[in-house]
Amino acid sequence: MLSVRDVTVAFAGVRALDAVSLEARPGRILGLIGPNGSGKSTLLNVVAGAIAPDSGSVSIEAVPIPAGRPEEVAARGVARTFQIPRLARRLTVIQNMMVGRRDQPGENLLTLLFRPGASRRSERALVVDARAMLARLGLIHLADHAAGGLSGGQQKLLSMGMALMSDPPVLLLDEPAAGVNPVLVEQQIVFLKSLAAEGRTVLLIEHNMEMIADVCDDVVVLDAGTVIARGSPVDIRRNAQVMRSYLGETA
Amino acid sequence: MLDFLVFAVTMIAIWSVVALSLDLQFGLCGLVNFGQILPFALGAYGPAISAAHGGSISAGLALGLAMAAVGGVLVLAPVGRLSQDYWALVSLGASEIFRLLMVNVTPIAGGQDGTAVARVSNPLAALGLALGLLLAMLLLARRIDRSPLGRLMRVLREDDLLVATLGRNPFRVQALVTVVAWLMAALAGALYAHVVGFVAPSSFSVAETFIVWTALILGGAGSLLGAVVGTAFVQFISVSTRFLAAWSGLPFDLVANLRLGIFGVVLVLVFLLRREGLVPERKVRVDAVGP
Amino acid sequence: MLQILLNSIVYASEIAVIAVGISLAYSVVRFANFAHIQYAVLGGYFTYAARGLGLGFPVATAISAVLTGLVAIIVERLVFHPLRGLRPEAKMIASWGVALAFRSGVAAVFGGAARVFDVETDTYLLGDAVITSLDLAVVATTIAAMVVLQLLLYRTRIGTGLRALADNRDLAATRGIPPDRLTALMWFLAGAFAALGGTLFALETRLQPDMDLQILLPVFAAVTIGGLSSIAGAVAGACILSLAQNIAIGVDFGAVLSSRSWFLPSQFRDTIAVAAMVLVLCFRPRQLRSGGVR
Repeated sequence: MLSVRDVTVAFAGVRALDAVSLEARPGRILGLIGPNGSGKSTLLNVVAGAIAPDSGSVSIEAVPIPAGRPEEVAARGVARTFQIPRLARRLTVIQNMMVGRRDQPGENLLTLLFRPGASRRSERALVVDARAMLARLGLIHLADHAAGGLSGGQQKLLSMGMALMSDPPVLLLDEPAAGVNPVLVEQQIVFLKSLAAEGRTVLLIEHNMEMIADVCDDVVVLDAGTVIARGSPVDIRRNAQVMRSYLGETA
Repeated sequence: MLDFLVFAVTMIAIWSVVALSLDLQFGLCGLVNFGQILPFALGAYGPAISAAHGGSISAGLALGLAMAAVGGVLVLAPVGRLSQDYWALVSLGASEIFRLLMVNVTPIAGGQDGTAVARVSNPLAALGLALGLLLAMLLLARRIDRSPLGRLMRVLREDDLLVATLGRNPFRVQALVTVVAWLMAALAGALYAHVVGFVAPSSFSVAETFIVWTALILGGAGSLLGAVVGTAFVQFISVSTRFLAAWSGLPFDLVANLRLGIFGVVLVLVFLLRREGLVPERKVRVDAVGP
Repeated sequence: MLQILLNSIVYASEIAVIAVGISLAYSVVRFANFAHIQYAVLGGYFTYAARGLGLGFPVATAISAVLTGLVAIIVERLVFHPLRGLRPEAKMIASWGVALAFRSGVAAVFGGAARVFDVETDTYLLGDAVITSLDLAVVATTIAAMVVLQLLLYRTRIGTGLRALADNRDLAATRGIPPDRLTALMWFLAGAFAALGGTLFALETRLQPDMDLQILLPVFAAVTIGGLSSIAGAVAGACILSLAQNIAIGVDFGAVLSSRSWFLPSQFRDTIAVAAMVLVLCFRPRQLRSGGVR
């Protein structure tokens, strides 16, 4: 279980997050919504370990995460994607997918030099898994293309796949549907539901209300750094305050 | 003529290792080392310091390698907090600090005038050692290049936050590459010292760093063979200009300057006309994926 | 102590003028141009040549500034403009190529021997400290140049355009500010300042192709201490650096620690410059990080 307690983050005197708390449970998808600038991405960055909160804590299975050290948080089993996908654009799609897996023996220089068999065996298995993931995401035909040549939607799918290669219990997704065509969004929805079915904990930032309604079990609404509502997607849709904060945004 | 050819190839081999070292740092990992001559100098000064203070050859070699490994990590230390243009300046500064120390603190190894070092008397032996070193380093670099480690380095080259997000510590990867690369360059430096028989600070200036950069960019950063090809070209230009000087009777200084100028022009032309260099980086296929 | 302070001010002036050019360029093109140092050396030689024609100092320097400014524009057109899509690291490396080419060109044309400007100076005494009229002229020129730059950047439309360009190139373009023309103007200014600084430096020391090595480290150290894209920072950096250097070689450490006199040899000047730069970079707050995607 992912637990965020009283997290506060201030930048130059402005409170990006003010005593925010939430819980995300395994097998369930938690949606984080709110107008632009409400602190959603900041919260995601705190959970991922990229930003250290000024106060409060984030815990996984009751053990606090090391603040401000993204590689250690990742090692704890947290994988994330970015709003603008981060990929190695000059490498191929399958190479990117393969980097997603952690603890590769071939990344250790001594193993590489003195136990080449171990490295080769691991690579062979990794290729199989990477191709399977690409097939699952409908990207297998692009395996040897440069990642930078993919469309935005395809890049988002690839990053999700990369995140999954480490078999993470916790997944943080930053606006996976943004700028993606509806067909691929449908694909994403199916994919996300399968993740929950596998027992993972998923935290999802989105503006696409249809996806939120379809996929999320729980929703938390942020506005100006504070939580203004929580509940099921149905509850949230009926919540007047939420409506006002969104109307305020579009005004 | 044959003697000269033997010497030229020996030098090409030695400097190719230095270019290979830079290729690991920059071509594979994206580290802009403007002080690349430093690990080479450290490797050469190990033997020099040892000779100046009555130590053995192996002590000198050990000292050179130790200085390179430690120096590499020290210079790399601030890289996480700096963008590459700042870090490049740090690396430049480090190489200059070392050179200035060697120039001004005479008791270390003779100061400006340098120190003599045991010389490999047989040119063919020197050639053999150089080629052997080059081959060994090429094999090492190739092993890394085509491995998951090489793949990870290439991701790091593009995006270090992505590497952290994927659960690896970017600094540790950079430190590993740096230590390997600096040891490589130090070995070349130690061999250089024993082939030439003399070590003085004037051989390790900023200009030398940029001759290596010219060789790497010309040959093609990111491709291992490129480092060798580029170095061969650069040495060829170097030698040709020397012949030109002798033949035309132009003053030595002028020719030395012109040579540097030609390197500068070549460097710019490569960027303008064929960025990937003579031997472009191949689309890397890791071992298990197939030939 | 007063002598140290005076020396610092003079040295800082020479360095600051050159450093400011680098910051000016960096703020617009976002890469560290190593050829800038060569512009300074070239400027020194242009002034010398103009003096050789019998022209007075102000005129000679002005001609040198204009010529060097034009050289900077030409280099931009031939090299940096075609390469503008590349990453900053690539442009930095390319700028070294330009620097090497210029270095050899200057040495080839003017020869390696050192030349000295023939300048008549009077010496004044301020208490224990010595200062020459040349020193005063250098400092005065620097201050004047900085004032002119300040006025240009903050009181003219062109200056506002330049600052907008430095802030955000695309935004400036949408506001009708012509980025290419302004960039050319910026390079002209950078080149002119480099020429001025190089001349001042050569006046205080000697004119030789080797000057580039003497200037390179202190100038880049000053710029880095102050922040690569900050002009005021370049000036501040030059002052801090100059003070650090001159104190380090001027203070009698021996007298403090024991009974004998011991001074840090002046050859360590550059070492101090580099050490200062490295220290500042290592202990600077994290905001310098480019943040991953290049």
